[in-house]
Amino acid sequence: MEGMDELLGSMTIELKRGVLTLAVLSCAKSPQYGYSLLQTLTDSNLVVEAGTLYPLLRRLEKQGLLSAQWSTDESRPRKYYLLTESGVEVYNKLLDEWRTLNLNIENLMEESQNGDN
Amino acid sequence: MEIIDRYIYAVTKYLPSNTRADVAKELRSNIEDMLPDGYSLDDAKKALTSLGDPSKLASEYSGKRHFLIGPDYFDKYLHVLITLVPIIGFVSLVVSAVNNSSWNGTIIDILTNGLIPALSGAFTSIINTSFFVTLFFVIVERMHHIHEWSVDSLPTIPDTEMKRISIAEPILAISFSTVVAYIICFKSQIIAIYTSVAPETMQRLPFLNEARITHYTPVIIILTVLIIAIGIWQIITRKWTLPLAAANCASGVMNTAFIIWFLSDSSIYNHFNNTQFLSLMDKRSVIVAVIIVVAMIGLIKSSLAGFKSASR
Repeated sequence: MEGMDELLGSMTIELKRGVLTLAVLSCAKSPQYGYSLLQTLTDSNLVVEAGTLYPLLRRLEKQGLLSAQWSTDESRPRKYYLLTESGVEVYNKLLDEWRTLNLNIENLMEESQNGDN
Repeated sequence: MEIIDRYIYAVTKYLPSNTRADVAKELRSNIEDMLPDGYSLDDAKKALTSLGDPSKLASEYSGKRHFLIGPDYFDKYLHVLITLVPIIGFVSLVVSAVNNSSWNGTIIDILTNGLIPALSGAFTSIINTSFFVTLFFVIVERMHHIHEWSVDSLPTIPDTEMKRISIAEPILAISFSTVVAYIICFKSQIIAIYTSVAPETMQRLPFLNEARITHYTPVIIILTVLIIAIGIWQIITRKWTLPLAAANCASGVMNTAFIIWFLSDSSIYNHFNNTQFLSLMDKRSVIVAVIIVVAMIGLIKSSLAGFKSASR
C-alpha cells in the first residue's frame, strides 16, 4: 500500500499547512526568531519544514501581521518577529474561525458515525 | 563555511535585489542556529539537505505566480497554435518553394535550390508564428484579471455532432485557397510545360499570360479574403448556422462563377510553338470543363451540407 501511504502523507501535509499560519501567529505573541519558532512548533508535535516556515514569516511581515527587528544583542545577529496590532486582531479572528471549524467538523463526524450505527 | 555560502547564493540568486540581502542574512542566521558550535562539513550538509531544494525555497520567498502561460489560458493557447501552425507552415512552404527556386539547371539543382529554401522558409515562418502566438498569450495571462469569468460568458455547446464543423475543413480551405490565389496572381509562370532545350538546362513555357492575369488579381484577392473570413468564422463558432451556411453558399457561388469567367477568357492563355504545349492546349476546353464541373459539385455539396446542418 505504498501509494496510500504517500497519499496520506501529502494530505496530512496539506492539513498541517492549513493551520501553520494560525500556529505561527499564536507563538509570535512574544518575540521569536526563525529557529526558535521551528523548535517550539516541533516540540508541540507540529512538524514543519524549515523551508516552509521561514518564507512564511517574511510573508506575514509583508502582510503587516508581524513586525521584524534585527537584534544585535547576542553573539550573532538574529531577526526577531512579533505580532503587530493588526496581527493580534487577525489572530483572534482566525482563532475563532478555527474553533468554529473544529466544532463543525466534529459534529459532521458524529453525524456520519451515527449514520453508520 | 563555503557550502553554506553556496546554498544561500543558490536560494537568493534570482530574488529581487531589494530583498536579496535581507533574505540572505536571515537565512544564514537560521542555518547557523540549526548547527551546533564547531560544526563539521557533514553537519552543515545535513542541515542544508533538510532545508531542501534551494529553488523551491526561492519560489516560496518570491511568492509570485511562476507561469509563462497559466492554467487559465494554456488550453486556448495550444488550440490556437495547433490551428495556425499547419496553415502558416503549408502556405509558406509553397510560397518559399515558388519564390526561391531558380528553375534553370539540372534536376538536382532544382531540388536543392527549391526544396531546401522551401523547408527553411516554412520552418522560419512556423517559428515566427509560434513566437507571436506565445507572446500574445503571455500578455493575456498577465492582463487576464481585467476579464472576470461569469456564468453568462460560457460558450454554447455544439448541439449535435451533425452540426459540428471539423477543424480540418476550414484549415484546408484557407490553406488551399491562399496558395492557389497566390500562385495564380503572382507566380502563374510556374504552371507551365518544362522541357529540356539543351543538356542540363530547362526551359519553361507558362500556360497563363501574366499580363492578362493582372486584370483579375483584385477580384481573386477579394474572393480569397472572403474564403479566409468564412473559414475563420467556421473555426471560431465550430458549428453551422443559417447565416454561416448562406455566406458559405454565396462565396461558393461567386468562386465558381469567377472560375467560369476566368477560364473562359481565351486571352489568359499563352501560345508557344512547342508540340507538347500545343497538344495540351488543344485539350484545354476539356480540362476547363472538368475544373468547372468539379467546382460546381463542390459548391452544391458544401452548400447542401451547410444548410442541412444549420436547419437541424
